Amino acid sequence: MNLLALYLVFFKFGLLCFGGGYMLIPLLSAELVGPAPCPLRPEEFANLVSIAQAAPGSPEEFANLVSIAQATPGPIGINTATYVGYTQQGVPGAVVATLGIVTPALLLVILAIKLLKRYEKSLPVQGFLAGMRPASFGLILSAAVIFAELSVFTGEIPWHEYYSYLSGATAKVATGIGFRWPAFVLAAVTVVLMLRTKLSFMYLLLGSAVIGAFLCR
Amino acid sequence: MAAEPSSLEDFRKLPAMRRNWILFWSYIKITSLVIGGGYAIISAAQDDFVTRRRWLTDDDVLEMITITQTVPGILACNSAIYIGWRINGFWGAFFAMVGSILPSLIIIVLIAAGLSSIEHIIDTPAVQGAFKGIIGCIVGMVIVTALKTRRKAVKGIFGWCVALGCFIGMTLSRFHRHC
Repeated sequence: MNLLALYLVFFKFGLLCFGGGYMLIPLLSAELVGPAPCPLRPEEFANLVSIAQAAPGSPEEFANLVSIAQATPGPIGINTATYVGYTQQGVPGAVVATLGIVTPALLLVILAIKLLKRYEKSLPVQGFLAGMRPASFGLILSAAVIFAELSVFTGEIPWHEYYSYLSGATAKVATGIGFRWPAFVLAAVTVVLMLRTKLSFMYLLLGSAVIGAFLCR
Repeated sequence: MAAEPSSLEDFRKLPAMRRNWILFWSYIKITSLVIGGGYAIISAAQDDFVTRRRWLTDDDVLEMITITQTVPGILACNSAIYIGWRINGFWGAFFAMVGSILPSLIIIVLIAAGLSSIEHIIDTPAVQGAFKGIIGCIVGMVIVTALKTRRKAVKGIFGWCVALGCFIGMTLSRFHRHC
């Protein structure tokens, strides 16, 4: 792919990835390998392997890199776009792919802010906001749970197993889940400090990193 | 660096490039430290621009989340564009956005360029532990964001039904994650 094609492909991804960077993975797989089975199913790992086979470098390398993309600072979608751009065209490819994916957002977010301001008082917009506000709150809470599964708990909470246990379908919960006390304490201390003091999040993050390096192994 | 302006009025009096630089640098700091994407970055931006600088309000954060979710694109970059536009118009949006992508661009290019030593460093127990600690801290930051927006966000029975429905659906279904 030349640079212009790369830019256009990622521009398209930027237009299509509703709800954030994870949508990028099935989209990428469809573009580079062929139609994905269904972008809505969480078959992310299988898709990743197929992208890895299309991209230069070994599949293990790419799967490894995606886990790094999630564990390194920065937006996950940007990390993924940068990597794929780099594999196609080197550093210029990385820059072009990343700029491509954010260009539509730059225009659309500004348009959305302007339209929201202009039609703030209209009934449909009022209704839209009345539904979106509590929905956003629910999304924030679910994000907290997902982050907790990456730190406080040792893995995904097996909700389905709890459900079948509670409904009596199975006798016991098979998947055990560990609990990291230090990470829990860090989360609790963060809540208290952020509500009570004006300490910058940067000091909280750096302090947590140091404590975590010793206690969250 | 010179002293940071304390209010939005002071900030607006600064030369345009200086305003853009402040936005750019704020987002560089956020995205080079925060692991986990979207909501983590929104929480950090809330701390920086709402709690500490008071340039925006918690209501704006709610509007920001609404817009970043509705418009396609990477959540973190959408939030950067929102804040940049609200504070300093188009170029503010542009520079905040560049700030939100630059650390990733550098880190990932370094890793992809085959600096395998970086990968080995990332794999050590101490760095993995540090990441766990950071994400633990982010759990707290996201909970604080939820607490601060709750009063405006969730009103009445309808609000709680939508909020809990969203929460349960997102937590159980595992389709869409934090990015």
